[in-house]
Amino acid sequence: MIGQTIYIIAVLICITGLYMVIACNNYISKIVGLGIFQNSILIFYIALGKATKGIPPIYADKVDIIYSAPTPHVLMLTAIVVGFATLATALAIAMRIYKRFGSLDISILDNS
Amino acid sequence: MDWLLVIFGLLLLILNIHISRTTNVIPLILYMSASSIIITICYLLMDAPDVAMTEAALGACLSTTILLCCGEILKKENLTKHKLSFISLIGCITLGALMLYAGIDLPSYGDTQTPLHQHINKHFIEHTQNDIGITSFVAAILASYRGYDTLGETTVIITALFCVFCIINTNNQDITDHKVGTKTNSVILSKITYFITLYIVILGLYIQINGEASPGGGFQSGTILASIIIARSFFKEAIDIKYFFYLSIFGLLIYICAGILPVLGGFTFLDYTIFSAHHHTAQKIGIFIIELGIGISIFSSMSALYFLLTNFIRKIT
Amino acid sequence: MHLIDIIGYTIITIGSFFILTSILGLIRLPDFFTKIHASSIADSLGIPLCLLGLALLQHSLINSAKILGIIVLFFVLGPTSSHALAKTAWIKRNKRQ
Repeated sequence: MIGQTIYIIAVLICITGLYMVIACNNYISKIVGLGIFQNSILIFYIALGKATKGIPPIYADKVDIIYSAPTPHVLMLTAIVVGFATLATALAIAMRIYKRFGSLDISILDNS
Repeated sequence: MDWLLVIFGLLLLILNIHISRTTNVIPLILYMSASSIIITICYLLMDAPDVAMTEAALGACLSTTILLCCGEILKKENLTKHKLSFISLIGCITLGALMLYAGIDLPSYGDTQTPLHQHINKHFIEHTQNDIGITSFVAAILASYRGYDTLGETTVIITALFCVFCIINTNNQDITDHKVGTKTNSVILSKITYFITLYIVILGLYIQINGEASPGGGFQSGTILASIIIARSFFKEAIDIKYFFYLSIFGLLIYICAGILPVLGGFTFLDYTIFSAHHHTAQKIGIFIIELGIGISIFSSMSALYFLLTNFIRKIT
Repeated sequence: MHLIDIIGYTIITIGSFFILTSILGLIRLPDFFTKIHASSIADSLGIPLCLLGLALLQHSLINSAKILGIIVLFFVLGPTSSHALAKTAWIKRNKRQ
């Protein structure tokens, strides 16, 4: 149980982000909640790749060395960049909605 | 340092719960930036310096810049939740409980006997020095073993740039209508930017060229070099945005050329053995070329994204 | 533990005391401009002291030189960001009146 604390924390952050996406009325809150959701998944994956008494995956010329797994790092690099791309696109759409309707609040947008 | 990671993780959890309960937009965005910085420290504690650098550059710095410009127009609004938000809270907690129940069998943090550490990672760690000869395993996987994925990733950023441009363009505006730049009369900002540009260029080029020997590479250096253009836009009439579009496509073309040249020489796509006789040198040349392409394309895409969004926001306020 | 290690750890502790002072000022001071003054203490004194202690703890001279380069960066950029924030706030307040 102690050895899995970081996974429990990642799941709790994940449901916080999901709650923000579902329950908030404002579009900027939803976009920030999506960012929190993505961050929690990245923490989970990188925590899976860590090796006890390991060093970062850069080659060191010594004997009997344990490296942390490099494959999750590569996948999460891609995920961060793609997450930023979706953030920029979501903000552009939100700004068009603001220009057309004058507000980013769902309760106001539903009535107009 | 297991206990240090748990402390930072709990701090992150408390900060994120506080983010979900805040009612103003500007504190929300600043707390999000602080959360990104704490996540960067967590990545460093989990032995991931590459990911930490990318998260610091893209998540903590550039995301905050773009979000703040959008959040500034909503300064006076109050963020509320649905009337029935209690039901969604119950639903999310149920989902969390289900995920935790499914994760009971997860290995302990740091266990090396898991399938993740045994099959493909063991192969990469044992064979990188013989096959490719560079010291950073992450750069070897990113640029050589899994070069296709990185090609897709660069294309995603350029696609996002074009999507934002198409969304923001109204009434058939031309690409040259997006000149940005404010003219603040601040002597301090202009002199300091002239001084710091040299510094940032050296840092960015150092990270770019050392991408194969240490944490770094095209993504991080592209973002750092884009900060020069963003800082410059505070006191000068900025560059025409069509040059950034051309530059980003040029970076992608460099990447694709490094893949097409082997095909013309009789090998497969992205096979670097055509570049030299000795195969370690060939791999290093290939990785250098594609990191250059990635750096150029990310640099121009990030600058252009910032300009497009902030110019549009200035026009609608 | 060599003497230089002890000096390094002491300087890091002093630096972290200044950062704590800056955080206390950020929370307790009343106005925006006074808060900028409080936050600039961490930028100009707290973090460079911590980095100086870190530079003394390094095992090779090249790493210490790189950290000293980062200290120069903080000395240049810290006051600049405070100036940018204060000037913008001043202009907006004058426009509002």
